[in-house]
Amino acid sequence: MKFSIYFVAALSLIFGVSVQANPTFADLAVLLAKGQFKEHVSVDASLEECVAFLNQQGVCFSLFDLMDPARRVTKEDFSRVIGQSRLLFLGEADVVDGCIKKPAVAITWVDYCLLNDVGFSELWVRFLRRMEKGSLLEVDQFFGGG
Amino acid sequence: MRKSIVYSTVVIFLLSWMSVSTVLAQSLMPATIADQGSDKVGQEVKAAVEAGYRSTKNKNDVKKQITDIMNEAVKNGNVENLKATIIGAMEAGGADNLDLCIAAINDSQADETYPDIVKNLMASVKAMILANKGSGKKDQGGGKDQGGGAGHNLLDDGGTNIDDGDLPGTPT
Repeated sequence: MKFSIYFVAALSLIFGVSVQANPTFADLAVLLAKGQFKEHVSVDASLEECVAFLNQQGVCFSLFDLMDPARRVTKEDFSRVIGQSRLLFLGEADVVDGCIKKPAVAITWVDYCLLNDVGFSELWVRFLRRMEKGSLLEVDQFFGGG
Repeated sequence: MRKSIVYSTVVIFLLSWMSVSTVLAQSLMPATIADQGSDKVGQEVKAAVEAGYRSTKNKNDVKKQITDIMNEAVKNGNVENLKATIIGAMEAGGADNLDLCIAAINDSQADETYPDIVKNLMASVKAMILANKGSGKKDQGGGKDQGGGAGHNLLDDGGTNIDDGDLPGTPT
């Protein structure tokens, strides 16, 4: 019995963050724009302004992803935008069809982040932790909930 | 026959009807889009409507094409596919053809059958498309010193401790 309790408690600690969080692309866009790009995006910017800024830079967000609040950001999605942001900051962004291209040296964006010590896993956990608190005000306002 | 195959076939038919290039039509074989979810449907609708815009100068033809696609999406009964269809059609025309696309959707049965979904989604997509069009300038103001922020930075854990290795910000 005790073992079961400890087992469940351990599982909760390990998976608790990802189970409770609902990471949407809209939230990610706002966090990224107002966080990593805060020097360029106004603190008062709306969701659509954040998305427009990021898309303009090549950190692309699809309308199909953004318009579906049930669609969750995966680790691969997250690593892509973080990787694209890094390339942008380094001045190494190669934009193809409006999106910053993944460097050929890495097979996936997760690989790219790991190979370049982006500290991606920590960012991912922080993102999920933030999402545990619920959607951002900008997102709620856009979809009429705020 | 599965509904998605029927739906995809109709998209292909409409694509051909608009006399688009054979190469493009061949690249949109039903097998490639069947059962691949609403994303695929949306992408195919986007491609079809884009081809429509390219193939004719008569915008009314494209408008009718969009209305027909919407009606098929309603018949199909899959709300997710319908949403993807709306997004794909609106994105295909961009900001310059927003009014035409909205009118086409309003002419379809989608607006009657799912009024709230259609109205809300169209408003959201329109806002996104217009914002994308209007974002001509890189610097939207602000400058380096914008104050403490609202815990938006992913490198900021939301706490005010300056010794914890992150970028201390305002707790949320």
